[in-house]
Amino acid sequence: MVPGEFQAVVLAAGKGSRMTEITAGRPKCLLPIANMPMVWYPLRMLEREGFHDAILVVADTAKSEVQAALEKCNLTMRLDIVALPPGKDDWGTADSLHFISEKIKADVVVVSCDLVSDASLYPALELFRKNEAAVTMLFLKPTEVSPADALPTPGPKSKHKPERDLVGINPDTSRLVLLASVSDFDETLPLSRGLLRKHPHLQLFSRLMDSHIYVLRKWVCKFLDHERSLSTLKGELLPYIVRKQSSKPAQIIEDVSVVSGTIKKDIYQFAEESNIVSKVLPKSIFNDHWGDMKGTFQDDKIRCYAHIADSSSFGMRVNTLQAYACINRQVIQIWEKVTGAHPLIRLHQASEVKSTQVDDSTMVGEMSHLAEKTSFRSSSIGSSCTVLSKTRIANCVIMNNVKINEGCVLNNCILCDGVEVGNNTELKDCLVGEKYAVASGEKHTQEFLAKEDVLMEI
Amino acid sequence: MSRGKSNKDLESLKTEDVVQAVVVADNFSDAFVPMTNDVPSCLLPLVNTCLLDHTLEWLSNAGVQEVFLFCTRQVEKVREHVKNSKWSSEASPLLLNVIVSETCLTLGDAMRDLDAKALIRGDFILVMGDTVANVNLSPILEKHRRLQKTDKGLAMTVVYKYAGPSHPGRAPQDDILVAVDKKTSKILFHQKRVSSPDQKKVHIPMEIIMDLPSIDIYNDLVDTHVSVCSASVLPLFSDNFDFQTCEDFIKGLLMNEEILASSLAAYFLSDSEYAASVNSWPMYRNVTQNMIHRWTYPLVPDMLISDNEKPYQYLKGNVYKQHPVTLSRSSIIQDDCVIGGGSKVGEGSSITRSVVGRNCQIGNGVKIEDSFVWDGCIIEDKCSIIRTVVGCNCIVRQGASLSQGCILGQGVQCPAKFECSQRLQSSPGDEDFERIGDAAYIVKLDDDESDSEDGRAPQIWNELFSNENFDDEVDADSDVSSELSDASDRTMSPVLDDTNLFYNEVVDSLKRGFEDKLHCDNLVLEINSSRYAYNVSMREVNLLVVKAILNLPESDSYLTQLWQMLTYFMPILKNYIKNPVAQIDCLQALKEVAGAESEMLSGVVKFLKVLYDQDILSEELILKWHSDLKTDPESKDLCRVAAPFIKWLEEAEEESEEESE
Repeated sequence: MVPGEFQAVVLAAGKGSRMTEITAGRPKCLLPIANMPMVWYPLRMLEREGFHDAILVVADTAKSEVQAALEKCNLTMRLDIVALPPGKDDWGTADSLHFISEKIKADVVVVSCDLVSDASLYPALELFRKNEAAVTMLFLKPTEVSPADALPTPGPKSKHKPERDLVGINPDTSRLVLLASVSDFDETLPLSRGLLRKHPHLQLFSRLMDSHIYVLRKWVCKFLDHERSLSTLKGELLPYIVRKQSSKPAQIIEDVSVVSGTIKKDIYQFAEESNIVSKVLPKSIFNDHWGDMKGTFQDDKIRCYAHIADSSSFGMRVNTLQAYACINRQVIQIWEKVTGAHPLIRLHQASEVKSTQVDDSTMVGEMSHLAEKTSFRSSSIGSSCTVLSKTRIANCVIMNNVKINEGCVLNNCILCDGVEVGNNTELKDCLVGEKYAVASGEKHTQEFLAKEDVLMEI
Repeated sequence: MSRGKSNKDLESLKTEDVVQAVVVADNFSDAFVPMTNDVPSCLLPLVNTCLLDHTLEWLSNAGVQEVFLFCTRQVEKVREHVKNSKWSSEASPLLLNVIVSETCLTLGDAMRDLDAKALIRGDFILVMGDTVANVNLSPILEKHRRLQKTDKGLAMTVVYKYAGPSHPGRAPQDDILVAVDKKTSKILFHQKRVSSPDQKKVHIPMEIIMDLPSIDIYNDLVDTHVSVCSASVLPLFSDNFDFQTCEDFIKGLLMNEEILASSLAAYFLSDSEYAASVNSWPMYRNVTQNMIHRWTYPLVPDMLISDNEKPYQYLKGNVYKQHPVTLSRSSIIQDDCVIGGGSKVGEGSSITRSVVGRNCQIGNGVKIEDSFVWDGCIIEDKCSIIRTVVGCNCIVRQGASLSQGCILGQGVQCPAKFECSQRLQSSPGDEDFERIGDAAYIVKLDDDESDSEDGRAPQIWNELFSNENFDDEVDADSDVSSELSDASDRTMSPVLDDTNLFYNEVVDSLKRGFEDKLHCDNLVLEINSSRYAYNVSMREVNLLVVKAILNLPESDSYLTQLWQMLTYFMPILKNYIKNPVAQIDCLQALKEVAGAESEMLSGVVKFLKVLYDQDILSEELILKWHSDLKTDPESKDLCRVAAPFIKWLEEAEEESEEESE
């Protein structure tokens, strides 16, 4: 990559609204996945793809925490951690990008903090360069979970309906023609004939996963600065730009009345081709399509492209409880691919493991103490945890400062920071909220255990 | 052991069933009127060989062993043609059965009739008798059988060819859109543009999108009217008597997939394969061109289908001359021409991009361009034939000029010096066709038909030889694409209709505001919101608001009402007309309204005076506007009426100048 060609921005200010049960205690981007903070994965991916700097946008309260957590992770890239100012409650992704607009000097690669993937960015960047695109998106084919591996999601059963995107791509040119949510349409999808004339072959996907990796041309950020009504990237800006590809610029209105306010600059005034492209295009015989007399790219000034990573590449967005439970089970198997052979610290040096039954896919964090006569299977245990003897733990995620007393059986549970589990307790498929104390001798299945004030919020 | 072997042989015999094809010898339409008045459409000549022979030649090349030729109209002619052709000779590779059913009016009827006759045993190939193709059928059959193994209900494999949206091989009546599941080749959605309820948009059911990870929508396909049918197709037609066309069949199957338990598959031809059904004049022209350009190889003009044909000479520039042709020394034959045997071309004649049949007599100084002259025609001296079809045995007398989609039916005698771009036939017919010559009557188009197809039919009549209509369509469409998907699109380019709607809205607002004595600020807000709703530019707003105010007063007491309204709406005017550009718009509005309505003339001076006094219009601009009026003959009256005010203005100016001095 040419240095300075792209700037990486990692958006990590999300609050994890789809998994509030476990994000009460810590920011979403610091949820542990294999004892690494979640945000480390996209950063590691950027490092792997050759980025030397990145801007990391976090919520106002989380800056110091994030900084401290990332210092332990041995990242070689320079990080510029920006905290969003307090006061405003919900920052959309576009708002975040707008907030750092002064730092944006080049085309931007926007990455979300909850992506764990081994997909390469290069094909998407290649599309972006080759076609002088305004936006390039990277989609992943959803990985199918084998039924043997399918454990229930911890916590009460929820009727979780995943949001599905409707993505239309012209397979001949990789142009992104349609981007909408499936729920936008009732019974039929109306497609204009003009659009189908331009893109006579159109592939419609209803099950692709948006990696939330967006490559944006610098002018798109400028437009975002100007058009403040667009507050999210996925929900508003991208569908808007995708739609704008096929419309024509409005006539320029010269006259202004006081009532109507200032002139709204429309997107086409931002969409300026670089000097070299506007010189090359008319002289080149290259054309990306055939069958009509239109110029290259059908004379569209705004162009969006999408790359679909092939099905061999792994990708998951950890934005739901389900995904969080799933990635924790899977991550060790795909560690090499996802992290680019980053050394995996299974049992931290500063931990005390006396147990003899700790299997290969269990991780133990710093200063944790596992007593003898315990068994651990496919679990990750955070730092400063204590597990007393005669306890069996399988398929669990245990965060920091958790104390588990004697004789417990924990299966497929997520235990947040500071939880204490009493003697002889059995938990199956449970979520335990921050600092909750599970009384001795209790049995719970598929429940969410938390202090009352947390329950209220949910 | 030998027993086992013979069993095996028997099995292989079974699997290698005889490949059967059904050729429908009628296109069930009157697209080729008047040519098809006494000749069935499959016997019309295309590059000097009749369509049916092209079809049969292809089928025999493609490995079909048994053909059922289904005739409905002019059966005797088809029978006779078949009898005299090589297909009924001993050496014929095809077993040709002629089936007659004169009561059939549609393809559906034909299929039902075939079902009743119970002649077909297994899978068969269904083609129209006007197909020109070079496709190898075995891979298609193989695919059909392979898919049948996984999908027992597979009824039909439809063969499509790629052709972009503006491809000439895409006839408007065959403009289709197909959605396919690429994994299983199953057709999920099929819509013909002509029969679509919404001309601007295609509505694809969400159901089919959601059920599969991905679907492919093709707007670049042409239906070749070739398909492989399972044995279940014929009973399906019988069970559903409302299936009239192949399209009905596809639609019905897709709509009632579960009930009928049948599915359809799509097969896409490769770029090197050719298949097209000649079912309209545009297709006739297109296929002819393709054949001359040898896309249909081995079906090319110099590859003789019939045994007793004389050989062709293939020359540079795609000129084909059949032996014996007599060309005079000064005649010019160029670019994509075919001249049939026995024809004569006179001195100084030129033939360009045209097909001339056998035994034609072309006189001196004749010009033939982009035309088709069928067998046995006589074209006398100095005729000009451009973009025309001349049927068999026509006589075109000296100096006639035929152009732009003119079609002469068989045996027409076109009078001398006659200019024509219509369809002529040789007999008066049942109706009273207008008589032009001894054997020349103008074919009147059936009005009912043109209505039923949304006025599209006459277009098709006209566009036979020109692509102009098609281009228009493209332009119209690009407008559509500009307003693409939905109303939330904020910045649309203004459309005329929107402006009109906006104007009506403004008139309503003002009327109501005046009657209910609403506050002008509220009216301004209302106007502005409609301005955004209809996306009207600011200049148009200025113009239309002033127009609306001027048009509001009733005609009987125009002056008094205008006075009241002007005073009432003054804040609105002040709001909009606040800079020189807006003032120009305002004056323009005055001019337009005064030009249209004579009452307004009496109010012009008043209007100008009030606006001038209120400092809305500047003196300078009024004077300039007036001087512009003088040069415009149409606004003579206005100029005259406004003159006193202008005079007053000028005097006032002089006075003030004097005063200042």
